[in-house]
Amino acid sequence: MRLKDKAAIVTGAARGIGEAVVYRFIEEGCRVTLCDMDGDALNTVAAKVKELGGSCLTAMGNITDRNFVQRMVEDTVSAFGSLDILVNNAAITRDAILHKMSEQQWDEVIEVNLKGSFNCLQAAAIPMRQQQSGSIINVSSTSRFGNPGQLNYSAAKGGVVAMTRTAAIELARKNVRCNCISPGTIWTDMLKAVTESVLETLRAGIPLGRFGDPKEVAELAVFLASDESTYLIGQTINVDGGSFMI
Amino acid sequence: MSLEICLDGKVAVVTGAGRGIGKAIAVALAQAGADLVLAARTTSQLVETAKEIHALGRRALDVPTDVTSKDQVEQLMAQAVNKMGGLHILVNNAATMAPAALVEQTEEDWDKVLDVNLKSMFLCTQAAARYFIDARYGKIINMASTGGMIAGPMNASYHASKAGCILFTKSVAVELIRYNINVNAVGPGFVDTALVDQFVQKKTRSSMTKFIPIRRFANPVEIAKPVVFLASDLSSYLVGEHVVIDGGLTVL
Repeated sequence: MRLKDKAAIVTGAARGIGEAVVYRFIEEGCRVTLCDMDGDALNTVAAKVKELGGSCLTAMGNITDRNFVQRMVEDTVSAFGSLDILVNNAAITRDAILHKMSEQQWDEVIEVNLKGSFNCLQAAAIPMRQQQSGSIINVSSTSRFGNPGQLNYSAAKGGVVAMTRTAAIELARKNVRCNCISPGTIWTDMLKAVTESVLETLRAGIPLGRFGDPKEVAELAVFLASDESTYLIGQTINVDGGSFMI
Repeated sequence: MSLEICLDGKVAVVTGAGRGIGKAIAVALAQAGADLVLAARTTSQLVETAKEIHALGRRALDVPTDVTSKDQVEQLMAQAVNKMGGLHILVNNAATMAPAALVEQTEEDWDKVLDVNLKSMFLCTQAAARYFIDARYGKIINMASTGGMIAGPMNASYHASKAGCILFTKSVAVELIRYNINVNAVGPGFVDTALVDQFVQKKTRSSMTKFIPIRRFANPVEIAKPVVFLASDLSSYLVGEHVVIDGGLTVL
């Protein structure tokens, strides 16, 4: 097993990419703290983890609350004995085109997607620096290259890449790695709200000709969390079926 | 339950497999369960790599090959298919270097570097792709370099060849994905190999380490394991990516 005896926190664990990451981590022998705002969905995922024979904690709360994040990290370390992996995945969308975007829509997305990721990154780095090992995986998006209607989201996700690079340089000397996953169009609830004609346009822009499966993103997270990627520092890897080969 | 990355039943061709990163890749692929076809010019080194792979209980075929020769490359792929029963993975790893000041670089050396590092990728990819397209399956991993992203003096031929490799990878990736062939690249930074020992003095080496956030050169295994990931079906949604493995060198 590729993550045997490691302990992880996965934010946004109740659905989509986060949920897929949880199951793959459990299958690879990792113990996981599941973080999400949606308590019911979180309990459903936790029940499935138990079915797989895995062990997990649940942390229901909001990553914009620094006290909550601090407690989650402490609870993880005391339950599992270490914190080896953080998957900074929780994110929201509040789409609107520029001239219709409200200040609140801007603020909410930056608050959760960028500040929330910073909160988790900063809190998780404390035990990782002490134990002089760890792998932090931030989740950006190919929207960072620009996506109409997502001014707030693309700005936050671009910020996540810059944050990854800086954190990576700072943490490298403590043997803590920080890298980033940049998913393209992945078949999750976020996408299921989109109309069929828009889906068709999106699909046409993917050389592979289909949307990604959350599991395909989870496989990249396993790789970056494992000791197979010990020399990867500050990288952002697109998992997008070839949509953006930049 | 999924276990370690599994390449059981797959046949991989690795060029430049006699030493350094290529040898580490060949061994790592064999550890994951693949059978190997090893290509390089120097027979004695290939035999050594083959021995290590046999010791892992995998098949290994050593094929002395000049990767700049179209005929020899076509022979290589044909032997993989005929003697090993298939061809699933190609790792374009063979490379060379001829550092020199621009005004002193000979045309011969320029051609040699571009032929070994870039033209070989075209020849090997073309020859392998014919089998991959028929099978509607294939994984191609090209060895690029951080030298293809950032510049340095006295080595223009190498930098040009590796920059070419990155865009070659992306162009071929977008063309071949319709046949279920994943093409990606890996970009190592400074790695502990004989090539580095040959061209980099010890003093220079320790001053270079200061520019690497992780403060050390890579072990070849740290390049080989990501190649195994890209050679597996776990990376099915990665298309035309250049995965940089440099300890943060190009991030700083």
